[in-house]
Amino acid sequence: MRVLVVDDEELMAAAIAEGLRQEGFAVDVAHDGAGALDMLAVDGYDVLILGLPRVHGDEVCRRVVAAGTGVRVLMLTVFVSDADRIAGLSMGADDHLAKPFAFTELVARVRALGRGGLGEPRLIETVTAGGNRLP
Amino acid sequence: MKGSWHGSLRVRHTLMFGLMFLLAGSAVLGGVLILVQNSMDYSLAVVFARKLEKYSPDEEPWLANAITTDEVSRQIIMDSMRDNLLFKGGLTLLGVCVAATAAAWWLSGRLLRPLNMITDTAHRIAGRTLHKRIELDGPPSEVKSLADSFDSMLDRLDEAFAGQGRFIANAAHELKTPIAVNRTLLDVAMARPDSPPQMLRLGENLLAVNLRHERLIDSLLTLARAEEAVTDRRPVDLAQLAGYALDFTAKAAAEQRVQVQAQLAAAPVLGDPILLEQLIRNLVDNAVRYNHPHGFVWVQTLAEVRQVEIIVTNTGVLISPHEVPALFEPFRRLTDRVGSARGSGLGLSIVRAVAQAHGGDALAIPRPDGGLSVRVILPRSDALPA
Repeated sequence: MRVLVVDDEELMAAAIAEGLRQEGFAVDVAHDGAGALDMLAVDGYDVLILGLPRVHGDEVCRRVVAAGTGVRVLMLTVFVSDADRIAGLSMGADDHLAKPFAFTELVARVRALGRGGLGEPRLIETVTAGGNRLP
Repeated sequence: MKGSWHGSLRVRHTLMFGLMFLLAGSAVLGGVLILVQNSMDYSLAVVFARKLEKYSPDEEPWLANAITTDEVSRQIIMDSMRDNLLFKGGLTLLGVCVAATAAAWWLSGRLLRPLNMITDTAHRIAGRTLHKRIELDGPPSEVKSLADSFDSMLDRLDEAFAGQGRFIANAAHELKTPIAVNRTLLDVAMARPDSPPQMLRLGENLLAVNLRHERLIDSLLTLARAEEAVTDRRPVDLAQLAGYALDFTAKAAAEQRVQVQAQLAAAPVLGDPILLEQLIRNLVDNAVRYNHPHGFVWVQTLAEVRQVEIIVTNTGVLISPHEVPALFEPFRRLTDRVGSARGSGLGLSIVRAVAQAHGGDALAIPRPDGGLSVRVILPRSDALPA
């Protein structure tokens, strides 16, 4: 499965890439929205991991969804309120994971997205503050 | 409260007006009385003078008697006239005074209505959200100036809080990003197949420290959010949130071998569900953490006429009453800093901050057998979800 990791923190992007390669994924890395979009235009990816800060991340997500390449988008962001999560959902991302996260969780989510699963984003339960901790 | 404020100014206006009217009316009555008396006196004097002109005392012997009786008549006329005027005039004055007072009461009510409207709107705004404005219609007047000043003050408050909200959002991002990077670096490094055991041990320790930092930052952010005005409130049931919180802490309680018992009656409030769930979770976390093995935690939610309460009680070490206020201070814990790595020391300060942000408060009472009972009181609200 081909994965594109986009994060403005270079260490973060490198660590995620290494971890995913250990799990058997083919991984490319970009550090900003422009680079990501360029790479998405050239190659086909199954999953896009988007760890850019809110404004940039939303914009890239929107463009990716609009391009309609069929790549699944997993957004990684620091959450301050459930308004953030709802906003991310409305951008068209397929899934959302709060930073900081457990790496095993990330791997599980990427696998699920790559399989084409996760029709219903898990966000819904957390939006109602149902027993999940505030990240 | 609205009624009494309204009544007091209205009552004062009406009484003042009534009193002024009474005084003015009395002055008029008094003036009229003096004028009429003078007039009558003058007329009577003219009559007597004319009489004397017409008849001379030498020709008419009856004149002397007539003058005396005239004098008596004059006195009777003046006295009876004065009494009559005073009596009837006084009654009339009283009657008109009552009517004037009633009119003043009505008029005062009408004039005070815009002020009442401002107070009501301000009350609603303060209770719920900073985003509404009074926007009083009408011609320029002192009342409209007041409403406009109020609106511009709300604008400044709204901006200030928005600024604070943005600061917190930015701070959250800046503080949490390195923590996230740390965590991923450690996770990935420890997952490498060739990691030596020392590396794994070091990794575990670093992860634990990182987690502590993460929790501390979360708590600080919650505290900062709680201290802002709670600008967006929704109908929430504390019993339901307590249920979620208990699900979440069940595992930790089992690990500590602490038994948790709950009695959750419906407790409706208007508030921020995330902050309130955090409040309950902090209470239960503390109750489990500062307990002893095979100890107990009781969680109770209840509703009274005007307020709701959540009470979390736990067994544990003996606490003396003078230690209790310190428990609510940030970063203060029951044991010294070095001794305990449990928790961030912000738990109860968050509980109180969230309670106060919602218009309530938190109290703690030590148990005679050891442990603590924390009682959070919030205003009740039976508003239905929109």
